[in-house]
Amino acid sequence: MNPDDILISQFLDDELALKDKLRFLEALNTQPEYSKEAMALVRQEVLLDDAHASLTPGLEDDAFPIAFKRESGEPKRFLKYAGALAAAACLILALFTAVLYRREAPPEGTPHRFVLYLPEAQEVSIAGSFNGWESIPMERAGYNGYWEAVLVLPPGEHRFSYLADENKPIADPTILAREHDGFGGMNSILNVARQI
Amino acid sequence: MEFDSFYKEYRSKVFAYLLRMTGCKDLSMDLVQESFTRCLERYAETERPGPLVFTIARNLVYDNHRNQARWDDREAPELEANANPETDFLKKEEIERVLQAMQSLPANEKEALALAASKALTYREIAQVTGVSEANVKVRVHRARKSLRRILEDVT
Repeated sequence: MNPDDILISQFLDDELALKDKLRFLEALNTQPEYSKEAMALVRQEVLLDDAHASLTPGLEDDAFPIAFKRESGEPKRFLKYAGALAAAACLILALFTAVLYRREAPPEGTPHRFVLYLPEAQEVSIAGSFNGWESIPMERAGYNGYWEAVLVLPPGEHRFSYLADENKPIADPTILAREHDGFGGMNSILNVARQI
Repeated sequence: MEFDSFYKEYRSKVFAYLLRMTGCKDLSMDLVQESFTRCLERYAETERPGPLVFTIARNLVYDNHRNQARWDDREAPELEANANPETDFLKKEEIERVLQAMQSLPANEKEALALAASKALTYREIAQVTGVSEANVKVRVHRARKSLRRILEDVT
């Protein structure tokens, strides 16, 4: 590929450095075929842009759906403060206990909500390193195809996957860290932070 | 960033990416909602969640592709009603042609172009989302545009 070719896409994507802009303009002025190619690709980009713009008039004016906020946003905010209060209370209690009885605190655990969108499934379960890979059934969260399970997890790194009707492991699409499970599937890797 | 303003800024960009990846309006709308819901659940406190929401959307596309369920009932996209039905028809045909041509691209080129054309991410961020080098992203995006041009020329 001619190194100047890529400049056309960099121009379209606002990725040209100042010197590259000069190179790009020189190439346009001195190479008629290059100029023709650049014009064609700009027109094509307009067409690509029109394709989604025609399907989404006013899309950017919409607010985030309230249903989704109620489901996940507000409880999170509430939990944030509740979590802070609970953590403060735990800290005071732990200090009090340590001073009075000089005993170790019980093992910690953090409730974690696992959610999977799988509308076609009849049954979904979750299995992970946190319980020796025993499968735990998940429950339907309403009627919109979501499944959920709330598990209390100790701090640290946990590997898990969801299991749908045919027991085929499904990695969590919202967790970026994954690894091969050694059987052709993928496990998700979840880090649970220690509560302060 | 407040999640509402993040949602307003990125919603149509994520939709544009998904539409180019799937060629299906309804599926793309569903996946937009799922992507933002999941992003809110897990990464609401992240300072710049743009690349993350695209990574989530990308994973959802591949997960859906794997189980195929919603890809099979793909339908031609519906346009908003216009005063001129003939213009509507021609425009709809043109959009279908572009979206179909996108689906004929090699997977890695289609993805690079879908992300670049969303105008939401830099090449560096696209490299993070796709797990390849920035130099590789530049080449893929441009190859995709050239391949798309060839495909569109062949069908006209």
